[in-house]
Amino acid sequence: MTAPRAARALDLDPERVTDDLAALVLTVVELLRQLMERQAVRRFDEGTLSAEQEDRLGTALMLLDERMDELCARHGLSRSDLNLDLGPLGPLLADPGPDP
Amino acid sequence: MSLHPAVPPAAAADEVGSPTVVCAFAVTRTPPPDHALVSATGHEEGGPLRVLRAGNLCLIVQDVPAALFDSAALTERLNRPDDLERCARAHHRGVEAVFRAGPVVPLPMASLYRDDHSAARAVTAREAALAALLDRLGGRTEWAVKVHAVEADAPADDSNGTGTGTGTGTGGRAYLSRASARRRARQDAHGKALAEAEAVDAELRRHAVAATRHRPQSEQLTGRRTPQLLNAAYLVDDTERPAFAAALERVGADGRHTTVEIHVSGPWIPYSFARLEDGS
Repeated sequence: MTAPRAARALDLDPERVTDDLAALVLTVVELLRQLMERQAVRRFDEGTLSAEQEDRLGTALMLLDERMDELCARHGLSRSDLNLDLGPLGPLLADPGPDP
Repeated sequence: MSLHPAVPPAAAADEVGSPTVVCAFAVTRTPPPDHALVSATGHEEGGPLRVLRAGNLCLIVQDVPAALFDSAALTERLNRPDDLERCARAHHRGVEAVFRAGPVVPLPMASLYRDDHSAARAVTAREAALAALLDRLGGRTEWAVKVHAVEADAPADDSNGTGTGTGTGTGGRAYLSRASARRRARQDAHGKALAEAEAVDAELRRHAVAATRHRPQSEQLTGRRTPQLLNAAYLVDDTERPAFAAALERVGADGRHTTVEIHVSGPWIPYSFARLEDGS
């Protein structure tokens, strides 16, 4: 985690703990969502999906994307808040995500 | 970093009353006059800067309290951003005082020795390499260049980005095709910006004696929303400085590189080129 977070690692304010946990969970979900989307887009670009598969996959990803917006809004986060700086490896999430 | 166990040299301990170690700032052939050293404060906790002869070279050092500079205390202090900054500034003040008097090889921050003898020995053991490095750095300064991608025009991307409007029948496919277009646009923009950063680097290298690249800083550090594409340092000869400045002006000119922003700072003491490993 980033330095400011580490500095308050022992802050047990229940609200804040919940928010931090939510941010972490959402980070993982967003990472998986981006990986799935990237894979789907790759298959889409290659044309190896049937029209029906494209539609189903696209709809699922679209709903997931909308749901992420809702969840982020509920916890007062933006998509870019979910990114983690992995030092030499760069940011965890490659895509900045749609801007708020 | 040469970090010896903090055993106090007897003489220094007598003077200050508490154990001290020797913190080295820089190597030079032309030590600054005493009054210049006295007016430059190194680490606030330590004594005045002084010159230590080591063979044909001089080392600028300062006695610092061992308790604050042993490896555990130092590690802890350097992990605190405020203390790290204070320490870096103190180091820079010491190096700068020497630099004003002539060519200098800045040493890594917090280069610590048990006593004068071991500090001098560390220099004499590498005297040839240090002398070569002094020759290489003399009459040259470092320029730092950071290149960032410009912020994308988010609104255009956003208007068809968040999956609204289209009916459910074609919604899924439309979403995928939008995602695909978005990804391509992003990759294109990134590739183009990267190529421009490389072009900037290539142009500046032509007027530099040497160039080195540091790891790009994170967006958290730069406070920008776009990635840093180039974090480079150039060693520029004083005679080439006008040409380098002209090259900077050319690459920075409006319309030349439209996808990147270029930030320059300098002249700096050539810290990035003071490494013995790549100096040979």
